[in-house]
Amino acid sequence: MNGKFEDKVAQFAFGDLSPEEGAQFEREVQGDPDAQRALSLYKEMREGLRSLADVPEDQFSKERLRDAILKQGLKPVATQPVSNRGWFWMPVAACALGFGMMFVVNTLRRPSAGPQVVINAKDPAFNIGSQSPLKVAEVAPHEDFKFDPLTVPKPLVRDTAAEKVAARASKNPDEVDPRLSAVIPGGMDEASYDPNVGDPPAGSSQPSATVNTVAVNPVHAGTDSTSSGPIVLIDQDKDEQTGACKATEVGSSSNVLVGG
Amino acid sequence: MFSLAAKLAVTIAITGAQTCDSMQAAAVSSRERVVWNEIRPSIVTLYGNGHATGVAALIDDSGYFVAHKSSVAGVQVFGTTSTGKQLTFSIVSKDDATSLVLLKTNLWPSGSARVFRPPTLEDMEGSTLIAVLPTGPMRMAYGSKHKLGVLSASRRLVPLTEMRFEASGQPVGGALIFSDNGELIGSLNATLVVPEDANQNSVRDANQNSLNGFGGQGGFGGAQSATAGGGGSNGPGGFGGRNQQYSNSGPTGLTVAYTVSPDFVQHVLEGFLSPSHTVEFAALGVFCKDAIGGGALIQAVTPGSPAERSGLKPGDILMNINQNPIPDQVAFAKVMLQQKVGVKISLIVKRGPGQLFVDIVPAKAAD
Repeated sequence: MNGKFEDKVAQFAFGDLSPEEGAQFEREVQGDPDAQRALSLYKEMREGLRSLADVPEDQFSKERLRDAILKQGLKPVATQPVSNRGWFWMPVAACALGFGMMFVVNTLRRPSAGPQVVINAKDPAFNIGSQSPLKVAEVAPHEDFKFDPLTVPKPLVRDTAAEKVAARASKNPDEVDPRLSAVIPGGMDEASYDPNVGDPPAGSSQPSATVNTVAVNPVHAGTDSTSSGPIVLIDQDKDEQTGACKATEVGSSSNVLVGG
Repeated sequence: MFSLAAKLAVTIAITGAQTCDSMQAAAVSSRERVVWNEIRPSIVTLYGNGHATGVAALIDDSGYFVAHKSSVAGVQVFGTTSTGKQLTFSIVSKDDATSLVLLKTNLWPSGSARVFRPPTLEDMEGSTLIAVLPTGPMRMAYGSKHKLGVLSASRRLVPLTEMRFEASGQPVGGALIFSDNGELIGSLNATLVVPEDANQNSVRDANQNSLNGFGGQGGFGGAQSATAGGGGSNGPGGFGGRNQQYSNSGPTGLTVAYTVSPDFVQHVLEGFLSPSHTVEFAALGVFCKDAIGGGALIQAVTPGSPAERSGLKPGDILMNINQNPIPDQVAFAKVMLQQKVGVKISLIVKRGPGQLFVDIVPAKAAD
């Protein structure tokens, strides 16, 4: 069955052939099962297309819909009868309301002094953003904290206010914040600062203020630190008896200024 | 050329020095006497203002000698060999960290004596050292090479070798130190001065030792008993009246002295014998203290230094240098001792809440 014959089958199925041509074509296809199968297929298609005639005209296109509205005009909408399934939703809504009230009551009964949720915003497991209202505070990791009696221990909880001050100072190092002016670098107070041990040589620029006032996470907790070991300070003055330079030994090198 | 007055002064000084030499040499054992006789031809006694000021050791057969700077007075230095040959020296170079000075003479007969090589880095625990003074050799006990020192002027960190010796009553500063195998270890740079309270404790302990029968005279400078007194921790030794020095390993009267460590001396001698005859130590131009939580806290920055040009500021914390963690300022100085002038290094610097990555080229440390 070639294409031309298939076109003729379609024309016959849809009634496009004349009665004489139709009778002749019907005789031709009687001995051809493929042609009969195609003919029956086209006839089913024709019946299906004929059923489309039941579809309202206004569903075919916007123009037809508009024409139908203009033709029919605005008619009052018929009131729909009330569904008799409303009785099913009422107990469901009541249950939902009951659960909701129980949740609210339990929330209000929770003690306010109980444990708080502490979230580290830098923890990738908590992808809630830095603006989350659940963030109470950022707590430094509890690594080994070495207490040095010569130094002032820093608080473990990060002081966000001081951090902002330090950040502002780091942006503009020439601007001295009055809250930092009394701080000796290294966290020492002025009383423990020994100028004889730590004076840098003349000509070196001295720090007027420092940004190192924020408690930061310790990188090395002092386990491998050598600052606790003794160190020998060699003076330029000579010992009158030995003729060699005077040397004194200090127990800890943490407060000793070293150049490099 | 010597003037007549200079020759006369040197002759008088040589006579006096040789007298003291024989007296001093009697204070060493037979083993040390052998070593002294081996190294003596390579040592020149220096003179200034009519008296002996120190000694110099041959480090290159072309006539280069090294001496402590306290042994050198003026631009031109006079000296004499063990055979009485008179030499004149010129100052070529110096290093403030070790206080060593490089001298050069054109009158040195090549091949006439052994040349001192830079010291080896072997641990000399328990060995004996020989301090050579203008008056001759003196016996010392090796203590430790694991001490660290800071020079007050430059704040430079220097590894030290600790020694102990019996107080001799004569100036020992600037003496050249040799090991018992004849290597040049360094020069006697400093002696330990202990605070008054510790000094009193030292005297009290000495008196207690005397009551217990350990207060005998002699010991360290003598013959066999000196070994126990010098190197041991509880051997007999002299309480020589020099209670301004102290000992932490034996009876009082032992003076604790320091020279720079052998590897440091090795670096200095190699610099002296380089074509430029200069000693270079790399430096950034910062002065640091220990930072809380780790790192070296920059206290000051030298104007015009590589650190200032790279933007480092007081308050910055050095955390890492060339992949070496910096737990404190001592570690920072140790790492800097390994760096070379002109070779770029990478720093990780903590500034406020952030970190900086800085590449910097060290310059030569100022003396």
